[in-house]
Amino acid sequence: MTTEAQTRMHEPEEPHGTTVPAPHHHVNYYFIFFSLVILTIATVLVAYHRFENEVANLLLALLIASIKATLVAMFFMHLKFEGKLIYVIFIIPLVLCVLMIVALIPDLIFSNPDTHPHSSSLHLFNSLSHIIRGAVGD
Amino acid sequence: MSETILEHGYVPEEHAPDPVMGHGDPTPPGKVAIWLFLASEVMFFIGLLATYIIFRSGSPKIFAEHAQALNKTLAGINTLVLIFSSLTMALAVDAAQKGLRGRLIACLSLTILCACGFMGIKFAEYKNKLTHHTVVTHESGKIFVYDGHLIDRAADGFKVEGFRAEMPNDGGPFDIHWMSAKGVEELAKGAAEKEWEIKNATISQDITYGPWKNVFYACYFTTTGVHGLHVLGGIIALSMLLAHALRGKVLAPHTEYIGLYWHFVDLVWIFLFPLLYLI
Repeated sequence: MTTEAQTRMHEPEEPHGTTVPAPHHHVNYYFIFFSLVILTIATVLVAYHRFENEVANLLLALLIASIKATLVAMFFMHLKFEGKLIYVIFIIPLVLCVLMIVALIPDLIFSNPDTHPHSSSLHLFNSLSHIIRGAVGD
Repeated sequence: MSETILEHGYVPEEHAPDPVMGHGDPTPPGKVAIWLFLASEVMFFIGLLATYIIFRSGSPKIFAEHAQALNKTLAGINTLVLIFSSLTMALAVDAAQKGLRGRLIACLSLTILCACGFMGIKFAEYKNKLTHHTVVTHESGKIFVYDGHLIDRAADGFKVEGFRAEMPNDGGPFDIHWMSAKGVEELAKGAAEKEWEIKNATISQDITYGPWKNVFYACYFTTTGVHGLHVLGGIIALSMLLAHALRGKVLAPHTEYIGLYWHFVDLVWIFLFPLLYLI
């Protein structure tokens, strides 16, 4: 029994400059679609049934959205069947996204409106603009 | 001549290993290009998302109060429309790869129809917000605040349908940018929603629910506006594909690349919908 990769190796190489028809994958798109619809309904239901904890609401909504996004990326965008290169291209911005959100954590901690009237980034912005104005002599 | 070149290590182009992909990787350059573009798009949208997170954490009350005023039903329908268009797009890519022109045309048309439907619903939502006024008036020594939808405009004033409340005279801070329909309804203490005629001469402040209303609407219009522009771009690309298909050309790789873009636009909306409308 030969695997798909082995048969591909023995196939004559396509000459460059022609369009290679992409290999056909068996994905049940209707099943993915119905899963997405059910998850959308779940998002709406969760939003109407609010939990006491605001963070729980937020995390649950983001969790469902992430599952939906994974389904779209894996099956509709065929990421499941792509080679290493596409994964690398796709992973880099995701890592940068996580870094970006992590970089916001200090702002989120210091932005309690009861104790800190301004979020720390706005505070920083104000102090910076004060310094710059002072330097310019405005 | 050619022998000399071969001795120097020259390999004719059609046998050369792909310089970008490395040997043996069948990923076509067009696909690499569209994924690189999508990677840059991810970074663009995460910037907007970060802005949203910071603004939301800075003014949680404004976000909570004004997000409730958005139309969840219309946005929910729009989510389903976009997911369905993703399905038809996936089927279109499948049809193009199998060379089924009739199915490709049908699926592309359905996708474009859904995209136009999405924009139509978006337009209705925007129009609803841009005809929603908050007005402060001085009428015979009293200060009133109105909040409602514009229904008629005359030379000397306009009519709104909504709530009216007398401004509380407790000297507390008032900002028309913070006022919501629910806020005015609470101030009106159970008075019914009805039509009000407002004379231009009495108005001291008037604001619509556009991006200038407050930080929530600035976020809302920026993110949904940019996403809407992406949908418009998708409609143009899909229409070009459809035009080719109608003239008898089935462009399988192009369909796949535009499909990838279209699924990405759907993916962005999957996150925008709960973030703006639901939480």
